[in-house]
Amino acid sequence: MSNLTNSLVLKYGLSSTPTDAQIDRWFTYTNELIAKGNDPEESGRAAAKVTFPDCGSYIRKSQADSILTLLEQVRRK
Amino acid sequence: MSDKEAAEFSIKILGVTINYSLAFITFILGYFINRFSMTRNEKAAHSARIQEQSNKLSEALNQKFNEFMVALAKYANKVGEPNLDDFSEVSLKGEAYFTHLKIICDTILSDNIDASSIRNTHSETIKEAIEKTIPAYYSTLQEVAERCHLSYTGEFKRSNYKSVFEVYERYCKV
Repeated sequence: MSNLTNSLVLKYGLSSTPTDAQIDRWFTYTNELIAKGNDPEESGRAAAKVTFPDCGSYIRKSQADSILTLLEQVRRK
Repeated sequence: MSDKEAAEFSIKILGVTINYSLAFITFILGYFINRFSMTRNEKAAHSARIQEQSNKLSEALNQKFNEFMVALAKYANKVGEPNLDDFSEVSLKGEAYFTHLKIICDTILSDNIDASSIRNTHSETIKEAIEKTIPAYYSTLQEVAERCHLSYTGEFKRSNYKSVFEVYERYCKV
């Protein structure tokens, strides 16, 4: 998982790893929204909701949640 | 010297002694008052310094956290069996993250972080570290090491996290 993929999983609370095609779509759509004059943070979130079906599956509110999620993945590996 | 002269002389000596004593006492008092109290400017500078210290420590912790996350994600998403390098990367980055937490706790205990930062920022991370992340980190590493036939002796010992426990007991217990 690249750093970008990992960041997307954590930031938008995805329950699965997004594919490269999904990430490309998210990137393009985010840039379109920003070009229309939207706030970058809002654009990214709106694009994520459209692109990733599992967006917001987890609400990660702290470092501990992220650490525990990834430790669980390591344990299952 | 007549009795009268002697008495006048004594009074003069007494006056001089009192004058010097007063000057000396004032000097000593002034010194201690300055030494143990701060002017308004000094207080503002001190407060800014401990706030900045807190921000710096938080930024450094975030950096360690990101590196730890990358190592964990790399391990979890490795195609094929992870190797010893991947394992030691997770172990090293994890240790670095938790060591930084210890540094934050040492700084809290030496009163060099302002109280509101402890309450609002650090206490939650420390609470979660003691209750969840540190135990999960060690148990996961032990489990993975056992599965891969690696010898890993790391375990969650209270003695290794003295300052973290002390801060936890002081600030995080309801």
